[in-house]
Amino acid sequence: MLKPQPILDPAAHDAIRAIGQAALLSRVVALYLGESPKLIEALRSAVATNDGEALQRAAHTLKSSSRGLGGIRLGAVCAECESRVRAGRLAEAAQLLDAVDQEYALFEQALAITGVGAVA
Amino acid sequence: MDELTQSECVLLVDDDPTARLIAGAALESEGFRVESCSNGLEALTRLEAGGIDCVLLDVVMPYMDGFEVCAAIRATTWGAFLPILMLTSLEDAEATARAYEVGANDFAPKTTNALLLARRVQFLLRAKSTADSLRASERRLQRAQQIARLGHWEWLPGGGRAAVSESVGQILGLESGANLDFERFCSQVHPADVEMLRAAVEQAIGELGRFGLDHRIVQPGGQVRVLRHEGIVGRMDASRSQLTVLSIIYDITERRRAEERLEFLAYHDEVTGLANRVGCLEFLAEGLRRSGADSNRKVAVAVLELAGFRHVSNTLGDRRGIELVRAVAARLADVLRSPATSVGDLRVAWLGSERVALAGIGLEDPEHILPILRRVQTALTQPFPIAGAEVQFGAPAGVASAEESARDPETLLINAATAMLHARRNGPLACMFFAEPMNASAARRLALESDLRRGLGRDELWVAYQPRIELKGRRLVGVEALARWTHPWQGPIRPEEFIKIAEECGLIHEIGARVLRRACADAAAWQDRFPGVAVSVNLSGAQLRNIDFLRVLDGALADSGLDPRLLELEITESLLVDNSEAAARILAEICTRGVRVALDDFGTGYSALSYLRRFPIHVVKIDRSFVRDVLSSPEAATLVRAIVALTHSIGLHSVAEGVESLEQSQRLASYGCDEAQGFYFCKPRSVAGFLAWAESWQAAGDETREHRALTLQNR
Repeated sequence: MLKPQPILDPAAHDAIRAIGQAALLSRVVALYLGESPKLIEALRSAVATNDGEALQRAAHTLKSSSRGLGGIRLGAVCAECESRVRAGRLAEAAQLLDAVDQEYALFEQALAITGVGAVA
Repeated sequence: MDELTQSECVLLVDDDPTARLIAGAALESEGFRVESCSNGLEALTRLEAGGIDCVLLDVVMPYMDGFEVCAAIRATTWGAFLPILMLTSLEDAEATARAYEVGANDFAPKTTNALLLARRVQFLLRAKSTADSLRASERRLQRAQQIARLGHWEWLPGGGRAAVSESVGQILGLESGANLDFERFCSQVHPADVEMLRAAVEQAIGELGRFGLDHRIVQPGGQVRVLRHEGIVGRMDASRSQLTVLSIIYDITERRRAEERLEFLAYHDEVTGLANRVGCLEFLAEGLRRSGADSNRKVAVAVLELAGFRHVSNTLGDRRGIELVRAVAARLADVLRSPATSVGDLRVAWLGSERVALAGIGLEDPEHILPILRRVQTALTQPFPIAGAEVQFGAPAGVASAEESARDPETLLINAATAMLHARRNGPLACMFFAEPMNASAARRLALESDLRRGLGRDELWVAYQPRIELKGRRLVGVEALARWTHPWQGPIRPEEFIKIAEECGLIHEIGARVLRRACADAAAWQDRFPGVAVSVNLSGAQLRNIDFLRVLDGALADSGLDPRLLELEITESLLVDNSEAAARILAEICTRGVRVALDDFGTGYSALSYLRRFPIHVVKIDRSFVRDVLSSPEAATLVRAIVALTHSIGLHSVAEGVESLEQSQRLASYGCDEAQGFYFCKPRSVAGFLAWAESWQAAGDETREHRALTLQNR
């Protein structure tokens, strides 16, 4: 189902560094690491309450922000989740929650390895 | 970055704080000020407060998605032209289409490199500033067009999209001129002008050329306006493929009204509103043009003279004069309005100089104008109430038709006037058709008439005096005052000729009054040297009919201070025949003033003896024809004797006119005739000449007077 893709695309980080603002990348990563657990939590509660709209929005936001920081695989799982909800396949979307957890953990580690994020 | 773009403020609307942080940093690094909102409602509130130059808008957000926010911004008064860039997902292909629909200026995938996004905003803001100045320039143009009541309108001949300036709607009286196609425009064009417009436009389209015309439109409220409509046809779009018509329309209603007013004044008399001479000529010219194509459309014109009008109008003064002119015009208009006058096309014109024209064009027969002319004459000769009294005019008329005389309007009018000059001898309601032989004599009369008017103003008229001698004592007892006119280049004009013209055209009142005043003044002046020498002045029929004459007489007596008993007025018998009642009244008035009345040319007319009893007459003047023959013809001699005897028997004085010899004067004396005048004694002279003659006459003894008479006469 998922093609072999990088967990973290360094080009995204280069683009943020290119803006030229000191410590911008670390600030963005810190913000990302603070916001993402809330979004994952929102995914779970949306599945629990069977709220498709909330599920789609949370998946979308996590997708965008992850991609913005080079989280290609996490972004792809979120995108798949989002598109299943849009197609009305809520149950199938819910099956992706574990994959989201898994990919998030990997991405978090990758960020730590590149030295811009801390491991929880 | 220049100063202007540095101060521009971008609003980031995104629920993802990381996205806001990255984009915000990128925009700031490019010199923008950045504000951000995490949802649409917050964004709308912020935008309403103002100061935002550009919006970056995420699509997926809680409460309101980006499309809804964008549409809401566009619906506001402040947000119609605000640059909006929408951030869409890679997966959502529909999003770009929706972004366009809701009015976003541009879109970018969310994954776009943040620095590129900032560049994109720069492009957007530059496009906005170009559009702003274009809109400002359009607003200025629209404002200028509104002021000029001018609108431009670009349309496609086959229908479809059209570009219309705001003022077009206003000119047409529509709420909006939007989507105005040619058919819609034509539906507002005055029905009578639509074909003309279509034809002009069609031709211009065929030739890829221009058109230009004035046409009327009818506004939805029914108001009619006049437009100037100019157009050019061409392929004006960038690709030069689409045939387009560019129309410029402007409202020329006011200008047209002013022009029409000017034109009206050029062709109409301002006081009466009737056509003037130029308007009459124009009407006739139109009739002649039409009659060229159709032999059943004939042209005729009548000229009427309101005999006595000018005199009355001058006497009344300006205000009443205008009232009178308008009353005349109203009667003319009434006649033309009556249904009985539905023959051809008729018009009355006020030619000035107390003349009126009745022109008929498109007549089946020129004579069809005659019944209408008769009605006009009847209407004009009814009394006019004015200033608490009534005045009445004659209305003799002359008619000319294009059949019998020249075919140019000017000559037609002159010919009708010529015929009128002949007609007016036959009374106030006379009418005559123009005939060619009238021309020569009429031309001279016409010329003399206008010369006489001018001459009056230039003192070309003067008074000559011829002495009257008492036959018994050879004493100078009186003088006859005679009107003389020395034409500036024709020399002296015979009094019979110019007095007749003056009577016909009404100038006799003024000439008569002048002669009377001059004679009274001269006679009063010579009383010092020749006491008791009276003056006699000829009175024409027209003067005697005019009640105003008594005022003139009183004025002349008062101004000169002449003893009324030293004034004698000479009238002819015909006056008594024509107008005996009125004449009797005026003669009686004259007598109460002590002025004497002489009956001139006695023996030539009816010579009804009853006149001598019925009217207050003091003197009888024996006509020169009897005096001429008194030596050679026994009949003439008998008549003269009888007249003298008769006048004496009823206590009147007799005067012989035209005495040319000593023998004649002796014979008249032997019959008992009281006085005589003639070349034998003295020809008519200027006042100075007469006074010189009188001096020497007085100075000479009885014996030598006969001799002096002869020598003076031949000087």
